[in-house]
Amino acid sequence: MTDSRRCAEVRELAHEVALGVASVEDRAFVLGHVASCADCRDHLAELSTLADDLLTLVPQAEPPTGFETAVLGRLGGPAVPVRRAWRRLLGLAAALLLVGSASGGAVYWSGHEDREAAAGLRSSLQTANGQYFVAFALRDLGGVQRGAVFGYQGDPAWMFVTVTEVLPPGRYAVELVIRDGTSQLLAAGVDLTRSRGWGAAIPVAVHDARLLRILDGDGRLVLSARLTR
Amino acid sequence: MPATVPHRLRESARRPAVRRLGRDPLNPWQLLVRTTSVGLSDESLLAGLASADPDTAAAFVRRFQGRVFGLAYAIVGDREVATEVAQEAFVRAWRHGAVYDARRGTVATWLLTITRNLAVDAARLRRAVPVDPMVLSALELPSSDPAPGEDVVSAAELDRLRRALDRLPAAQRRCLLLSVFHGLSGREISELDGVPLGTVKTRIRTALLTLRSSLDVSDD
Ligand SMILES: [Zn+2]
Repeated sequence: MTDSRRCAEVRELAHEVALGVASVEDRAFVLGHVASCADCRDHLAELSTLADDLLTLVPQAEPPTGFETAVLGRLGGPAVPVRRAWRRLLGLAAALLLVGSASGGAVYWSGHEDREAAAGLRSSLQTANGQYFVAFALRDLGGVQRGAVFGYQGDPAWMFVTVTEVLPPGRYAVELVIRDGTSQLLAAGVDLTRSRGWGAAIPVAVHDARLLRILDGDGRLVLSARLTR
Repeated sequence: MPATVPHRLRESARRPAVRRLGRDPLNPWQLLVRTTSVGLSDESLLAGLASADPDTAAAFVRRFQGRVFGLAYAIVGDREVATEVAQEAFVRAWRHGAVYDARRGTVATWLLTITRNLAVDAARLRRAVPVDPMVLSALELPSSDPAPGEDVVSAAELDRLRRALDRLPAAQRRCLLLSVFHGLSGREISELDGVPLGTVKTRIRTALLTLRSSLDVSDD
């Protein structure tokens, strides 16, 4: 049985969701409804396909010479602007000690390097138009800390995950749970066994993220971090 | 250039990666077989890209670079920024190739959606105001013939979509394209064009529903 009044409200908003321009609240409302209403789900899927197909109507254009080589040269590394930012900040992150607390995580500075680290943070934040830099404990299902999640609120905002414990070999997925309860896949097929660290620009503000989850190849939760204090 | 394709890739391409049109009543639009002049489907190329096979990665970039760059340029209106956006789109496709889900759309639309989102972000960073969206004039151009390797069935369908778009009232088309290509919400279009929000929302919704029904009618 469908709630026709609610369906009508959803149909009013579905086109903005399909076009990717709905507000967070509208999007959450529509996605929440279509999870349990097949008719509205089909309607939304149809509009989304249509919106996507419109993108293919734009005529092709010849990219500049050397484009293909440049792209192939970049495959194998993380996104360039992000890499520059996090390389700088990883040195700084090494000066941070993470203190786990029952409510989440907090950062404090490690003794004698205080002033230098604080100056480094300030200049790093300024470089990429950043507002703050935070860290949270990454824990296993038993609540034992197994690593850390660093969040940088800047332009772009990004997160970096480190694992201190060797994870079983395999590919892992990293996902964020946002304030509205929806989850966003940040990456799939991440090798955390060899690299023990991974980072990327994130599509939302750091303070809008509530949880970071690391899932194994079968979709089972392995590690998670609460991103609130 | 079949000679340049490694033998094992040609082997894997023969496996039907996608079900044939008509066999699966669920979603004929998305289940078209896209076979190419070199015998590799878009999906096979994407799989090669994701597994970092250099030959397939190069073939993937070659096949899609014109469309990716074309869309990026249409949105940002600057060749240098468009180049950066288009490169980043391929890097993301490579990183996220493993999560591509054929049920949700073709490889082309998936890649172009990534491109569109990056281009919209880039345009917002540059605070480019699409008063005269480049893309509006770009779409006036006659459609290009499908490139070798492109799915002809889907090209015919897209041609119908293009013609339906041309028939939309100008105000509806503008609102729709500002959303699709520039990522503007109803409120932003309302402020940009000085039109009431309700009117904008109605125009976008009507435009999308008109396009949808025009495709339905032609499907008979
Ligand atoms: Zn419904």
